[in-house]
Amino acid sequence: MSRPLPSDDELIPRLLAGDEAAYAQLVHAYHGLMIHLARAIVGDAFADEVAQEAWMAVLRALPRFERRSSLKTWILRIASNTAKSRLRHESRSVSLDAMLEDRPSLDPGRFRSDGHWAVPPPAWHADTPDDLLASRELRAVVDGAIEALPPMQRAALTLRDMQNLDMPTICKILEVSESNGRVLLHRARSRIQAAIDEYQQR
Amino acid sequence: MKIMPSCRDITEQASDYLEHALSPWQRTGFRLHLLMCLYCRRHMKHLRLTIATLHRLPEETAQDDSEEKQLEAVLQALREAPPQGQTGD
Ligand SMILES: [Zn+2]
Repeated sequence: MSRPLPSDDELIPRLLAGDEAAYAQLVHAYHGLMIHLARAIVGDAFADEVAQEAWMAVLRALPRFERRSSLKTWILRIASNTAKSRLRHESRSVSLDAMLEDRPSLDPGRFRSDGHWAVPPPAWHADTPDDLLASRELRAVVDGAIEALPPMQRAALTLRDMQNLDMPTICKILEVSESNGRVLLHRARSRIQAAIDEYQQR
Repeated sequence: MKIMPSCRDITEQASDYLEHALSPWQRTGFRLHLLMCLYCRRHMKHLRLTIATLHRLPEETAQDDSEEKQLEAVLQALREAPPQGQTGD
């Protein structure tokens, strides 16, 4: 595994001085996360390119870094913005509004008009993640559901539930308000859960 | 203000509950509802299980060597980049 990264106070002056070893440490520390983020927003095909572009942007912008956030947050925000502009470029129909689409988490047909369950959650034949992941088919269902998420939802889900970042950091990276960030996360989780529900009823 | 959230409200507020983002009032209503509603308890159990499963996905995904190659490519590009402060634009 990679060495622990020095503190921002130690690292930033070295980066500004052009210390190559410091850059190598920085890239080693955050490149994986950056790729996951880029993949979530623009998909596999462009993730590597976006990450490379983002690192170049980091290098250019570093002298102007004002340290209003941690270096990590700042770097990942640059990656997120690079990925978003790439997404807009690749599919002109995708506006940021579409990325933040507002729909109920679950199919409204699951509830009666008074808000009670009409179609209650089915029982699952699984009690642990191991049980769920034991089925290759179910694993494919989960992967497919993640794949089908709108980009910003997938980004929130990836950073929170798969990469374990905290919500305030994620909202800064994705440049959304804390409440919008939680909405993105919840929509995403709900869709994965609904996909598993559907599978369990087969 | 209504005291008890509906089942639909529970499903909408579930992540806010887990992320401790509900008001104390909402949190109380949420917990009361769960006490009384088997289906919403099940729904919450499944949500927690979904999240726990998502946590496990990165380690389940096999590591390939493309990441190492990519890292090298990035470092190479950074080495070749003009020094800071001297970028012409
Ligand atoms: Zn209920």
